[in-house]
Amino acid sequence: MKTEYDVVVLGAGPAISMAARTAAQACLSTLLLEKRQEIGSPVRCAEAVEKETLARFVALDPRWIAAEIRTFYVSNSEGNCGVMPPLEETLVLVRKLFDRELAHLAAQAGAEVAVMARADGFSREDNEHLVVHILLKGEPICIRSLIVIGADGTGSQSTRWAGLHVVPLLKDYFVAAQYLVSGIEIDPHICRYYFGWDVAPSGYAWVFQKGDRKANIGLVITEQPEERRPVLYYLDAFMLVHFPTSSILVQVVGGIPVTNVLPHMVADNYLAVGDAARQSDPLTAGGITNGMFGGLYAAQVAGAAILAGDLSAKFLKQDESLWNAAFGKLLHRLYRIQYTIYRIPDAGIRQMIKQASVLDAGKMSLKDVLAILFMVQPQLLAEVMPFFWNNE
Amino acid sequence: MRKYFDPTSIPHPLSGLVSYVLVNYDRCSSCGACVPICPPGSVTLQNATLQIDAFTCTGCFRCIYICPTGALSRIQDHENGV
Repeated sequence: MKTEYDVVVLGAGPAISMAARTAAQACLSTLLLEKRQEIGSPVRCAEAVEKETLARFVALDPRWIAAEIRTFYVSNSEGNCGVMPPLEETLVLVRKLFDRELAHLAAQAGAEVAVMARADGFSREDNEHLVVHILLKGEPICIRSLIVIGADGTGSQSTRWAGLHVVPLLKDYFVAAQYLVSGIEIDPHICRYYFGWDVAPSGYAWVFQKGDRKANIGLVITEQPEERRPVLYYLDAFMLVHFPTSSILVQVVGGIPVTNVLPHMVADNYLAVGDAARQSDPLTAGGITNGMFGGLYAAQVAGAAILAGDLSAKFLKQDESLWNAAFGKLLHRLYRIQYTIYRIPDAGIRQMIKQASVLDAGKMSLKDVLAILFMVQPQLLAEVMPFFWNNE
Repeated sequence: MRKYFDPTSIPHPLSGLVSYVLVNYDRCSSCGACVPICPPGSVTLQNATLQIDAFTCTGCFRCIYICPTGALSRIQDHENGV
């Protein structure tokens, strides 16, 4: 390991591996640091991702694809079940292998990868470099770097060091729990969502098939008016009703800020990407491809900044512009829609899914779904309409 | 054996006036959901173990509200036997 790099990236998730790979391909000396002993572990993800978007970044490999999903079912607590029209083909990944493969690709492109390397803080020696203090297997070392890209996830410390951290409001904070269970019998190409306040108050539950009689069963909740219980309590209750005999192999819990992105994603010599910059989709809380786009933009801007010799926040703001041009409006809309959708009362949700369940699955289109949604929750109309105007 | 992180073991000028948070390490899965939500940044994960800085904790209890596993609780409630 050298003591000076062009780009140091913190965390080895999909966002950062993408950034490291892009930076290394641009012939920048790149160091990828992972604080844990293993890349890709522990998994904190429901592992579903859009197939086409992912295929733009990496060649799809059956080794890290657990299942392909073609149909989504939406159920309410009364047992009514509607079929959602297929929007985009979805893959369920094996994140552990997927993350490792991305890190491998970054290494192949020329990036250095180190595990058991925990960043401990930033400091400055001169105007040009940022010094990253690292504990490498417990040994403190300092690495000088022109650009630091932080993608240390939801609990990001690097955004705090860079002075970019904003404490999310409770209403903007999803809390999720998930079990990887074995021994369940469901169709391998179907995913199920469950809505309803008795299942997941102002949230939803999901069953993502992973093949070989395994599935990710999870539940997400947001802020509630009444006193609430831990999300694991709701998940256990859900499991007891729907999958009482299955065995739990893995338990995953975590929080996801869905505040829309941070007001500032860059500081001098520093860029935040992925969950650290809150780039997750505010509606579904999914963030794999968003993070990969974020990593790509950050690395491109970092490369341009090093070439231009200008590492100030002002120059790096281009990253924010790139992000806003691609995702800004969309995420802002989704954030507003999310806020309306997760506050539909229980009776409204039941009625909606009941209406959807009588429709013919083969002929149903997105229009029908929206019609039902608007009938129950007219406020949504105002939120969704601008989507269509923008498209025209 | 360290089971609970007990902030009251640290002498604090306001101890008794300020309410603190108790961590049940048997339930905590070190997910870090409470880290970004803490306004003063008192909650940190150090070597995958949750640490709460009693000196900066303001007792807002947002961490207890969002904890996915129910590992956090108010010390007050323990004292009152809730």
